[in-house]
Amino acid sequence: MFQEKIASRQLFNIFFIMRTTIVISILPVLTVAQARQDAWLVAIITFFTSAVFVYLIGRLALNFPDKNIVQYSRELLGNWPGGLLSLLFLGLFLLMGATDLRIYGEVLRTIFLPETPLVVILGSMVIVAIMVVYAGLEPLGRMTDLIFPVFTLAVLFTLFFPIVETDFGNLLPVLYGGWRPVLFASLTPTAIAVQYANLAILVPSVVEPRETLRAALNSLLWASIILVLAAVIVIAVLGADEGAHAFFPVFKMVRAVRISEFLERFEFFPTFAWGLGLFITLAVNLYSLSKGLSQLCSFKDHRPFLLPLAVILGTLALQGYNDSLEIRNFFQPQIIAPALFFVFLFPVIVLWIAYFLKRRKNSVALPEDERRG
Amino acid sequence: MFWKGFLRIFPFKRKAKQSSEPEAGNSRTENAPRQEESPLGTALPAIEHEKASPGTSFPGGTAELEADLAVNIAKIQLAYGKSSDLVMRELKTATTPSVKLAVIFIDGLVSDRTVAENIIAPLLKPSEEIVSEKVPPITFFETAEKSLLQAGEVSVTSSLEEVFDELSSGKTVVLIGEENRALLAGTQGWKERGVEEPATEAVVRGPRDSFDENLRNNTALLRLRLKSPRLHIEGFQIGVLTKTKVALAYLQGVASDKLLAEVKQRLERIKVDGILESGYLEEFIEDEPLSPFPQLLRTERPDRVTACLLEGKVAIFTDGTPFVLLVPAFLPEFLTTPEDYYERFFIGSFVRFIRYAAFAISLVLPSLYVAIVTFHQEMLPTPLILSIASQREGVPFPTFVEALLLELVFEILREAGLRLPRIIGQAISIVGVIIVGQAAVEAGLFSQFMLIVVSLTAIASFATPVFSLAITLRLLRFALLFLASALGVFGILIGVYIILLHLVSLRSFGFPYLKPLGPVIASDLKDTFVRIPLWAMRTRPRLIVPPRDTIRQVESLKPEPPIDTGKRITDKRGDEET
Repeated sequence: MFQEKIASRQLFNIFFIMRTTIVISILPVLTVAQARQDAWLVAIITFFTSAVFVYLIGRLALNFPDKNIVQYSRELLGNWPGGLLSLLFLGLFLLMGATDLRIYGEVLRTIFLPETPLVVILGSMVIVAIMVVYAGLEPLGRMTDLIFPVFTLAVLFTLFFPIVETDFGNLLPVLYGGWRPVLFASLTPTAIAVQYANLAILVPSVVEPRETLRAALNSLLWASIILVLAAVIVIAVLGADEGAHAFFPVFKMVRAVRISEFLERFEFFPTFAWGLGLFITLAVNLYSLSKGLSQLCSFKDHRPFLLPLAVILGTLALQGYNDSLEIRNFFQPQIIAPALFFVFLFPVIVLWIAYFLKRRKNSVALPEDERRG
Repeated sequence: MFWKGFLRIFPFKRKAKQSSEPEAGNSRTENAPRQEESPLGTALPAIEHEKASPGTSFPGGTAELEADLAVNIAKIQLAYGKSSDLVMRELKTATTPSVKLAVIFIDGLVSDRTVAENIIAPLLKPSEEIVSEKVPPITFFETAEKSLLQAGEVSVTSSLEEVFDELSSGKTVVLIGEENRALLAGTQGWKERGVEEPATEAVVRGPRDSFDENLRNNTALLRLRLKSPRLHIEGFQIGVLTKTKVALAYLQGVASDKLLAEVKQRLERIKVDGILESGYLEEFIEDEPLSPFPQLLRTERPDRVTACLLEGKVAIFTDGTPFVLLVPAFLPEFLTTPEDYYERFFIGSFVRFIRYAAFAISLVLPSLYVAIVTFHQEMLPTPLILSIASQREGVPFPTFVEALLLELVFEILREAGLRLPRIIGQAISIVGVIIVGQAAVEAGLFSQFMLIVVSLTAIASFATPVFSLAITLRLLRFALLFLASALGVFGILIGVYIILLHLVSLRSFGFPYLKPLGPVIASDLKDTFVRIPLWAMRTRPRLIVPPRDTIRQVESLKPEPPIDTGKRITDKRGDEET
């Protein structure tokens, strides 16, 4: 079977764009709400906790560089248990794709297209995602090559224009509420790091599989730097109180900025960056979902699954939440963290245990193999 | 190998025999008489017929010449029917015993003087020695070939099909006595346009010659620029009825074998009645026929072809058109002109930037205006949106309809002005300016802002150096306009995204169309958004050139002032003066 290949540079692009998109859209509000002016500390802590996640899934995938999670979980656990376990993982892609989709739909509806029915907005985005995934992983990788510089520039513009309005006094006092709210707030961004679960599907498609872990960790690092910047600037411009109440603080911040008569209201930049990033996020999730499902059903091609899955994704995004408040509630640490930790960590840990058990068994049988591995 | 290609600039005949299918010949001759009755109708059935019965013979006998002058003449006459431009002169030599001859050519394609003085005259009155030798009829053929015919190119054939081919390309056919062979003398001499300035790719600084309709002239222009024998020019013949000559030019070693094989295979696949322009070929050989984007670069400038060959591309010359196709083509190249490299690199890079901006403007500006005015008024600064609103007050249409109408008006004006003689064309533009520009605004049909937007877009679309890409942008602009009217900036985002997706999936002869942007090839970015100095362009573009031949110049070509003399001398002079 022909295996589409992407470069590890493109993998870095994919994850950087995915992570930054979600970071810039929703994270500041959640972290600000809990940790108030210490949100930037949350961003730093999140990097380390998320890195553990990335390492867990990325290192596991590297043990099987030419297999994706559906294949190796079956190999480790047997046909049925492995299939069920990977189904849990696939559910994760569906959930994340739908949530991202809905968030962007809400942004567009509240800020740009208040009269347009949500189903039209979501539908058009899903159609674009289908087209991307239908074209395949290689065009998707090249898309990220193209989008990455534009996306990064737009994000940086978004973050640097407001600098004129900053009041860094808003960041004080540091650690006013102690470490507890900070650690608590960092649960959400850590939970969102489960988007790196896509590694489990993408690793066998990377030209240099050994590079994937480094690329993924690099993308996490740079996205975290952007997150720290975003948190600092949002608080410095809006203040902790207002930042905690706005649902899309980055947009609110951008709207509040007025550099001169002709340089104001440039929320075009974040929307643009976000839109570009969201299409990539959606497409990657949809790809992982359809690829995994096609493997589960022993199909050669992922494309036949695309249309039904996209319909499910769109419906879930439309029906899963009633309004933006519900999304916000879903992102509360006490809800999202247990849910995603279970869906992500349970299979990963089970697989790791199975892997170690199998390795021990093998090393008893074939000690020379072990040494080489 | 090399010197052969060098001496014979154009080895058509040999190649034509090899490349065209053997069965193609028979039914061509067979269908030639029928063609007179319904030229269109027979064209395609002729092709099918070939495949059905490859061995069908010529109606008057075989497709070979026979050892009978009268029969051969009859065959040729039958094939050409009542064509008035076929000239046949039956002659008798002044030798004893006299030999019967026929001189056949097509009027207008040959130079009359050459035929009269260098073909007919020596045949009728052979010089004294030949007469005194009392040449018998059998060897008169050889004598004529070796000593009598005064043409640069004389060849022998016994195939009737080749006789037809060469007749139609301006050669003179000499049939002698009871020979089953014919002499073909090169007497081509038709009226040509001559080398003129390029009509579509003018430059301020740079060579002013352009290709014309004659393929030989075109390859000669290339050969003059690229003197290495490594320049190979292979000939093909495409088109069952038009028998259009097509030539493939490439630099041996620099163009990859894989690319060459691919181009040849695609060209040999074509079986049609006629090829009239390189556009015909383009539609038959491009990768994605349903894409709006041009996947082959076409040019009428010899210097551009030369530059592209040096980068490992393959040029496809078509007889009868000045436009040469270059494969593979990449999108960034459509935004370059040869002049970028002739002027210094600062301005070369700057105009690149301008062109990319113009590219973006001509694609999205009208739709962006529609989206902002319809959906996102808050994105504009307040004074600006107020002045737009006050102007739009009297306009009866929604912005989208206004934009669509004005774009259509502009397209009509452009189309009308394009085909008219230059003098009337000016009249059209005056009418366009006065009526559309002033009266429409005063009458309250359109707002001035929309007029500015549409004219800016039009100007920007003229800044695209390659016309085929400008056409694409015109089409896509309308699609984006519809998206913007429905979903605002988000719609434009979707549209642009789909266009990008299409571009990254597109390939030109197997090479990614968006190279070096997607996939990113860092070393090729030197000649994309900016044009770095020539002395820094050490390597040829990646991907298409095989790795063994990527270096194009020696290292450290950067010019510098002379190391020890330069400065000291001026200092001394300065001292002396003060």
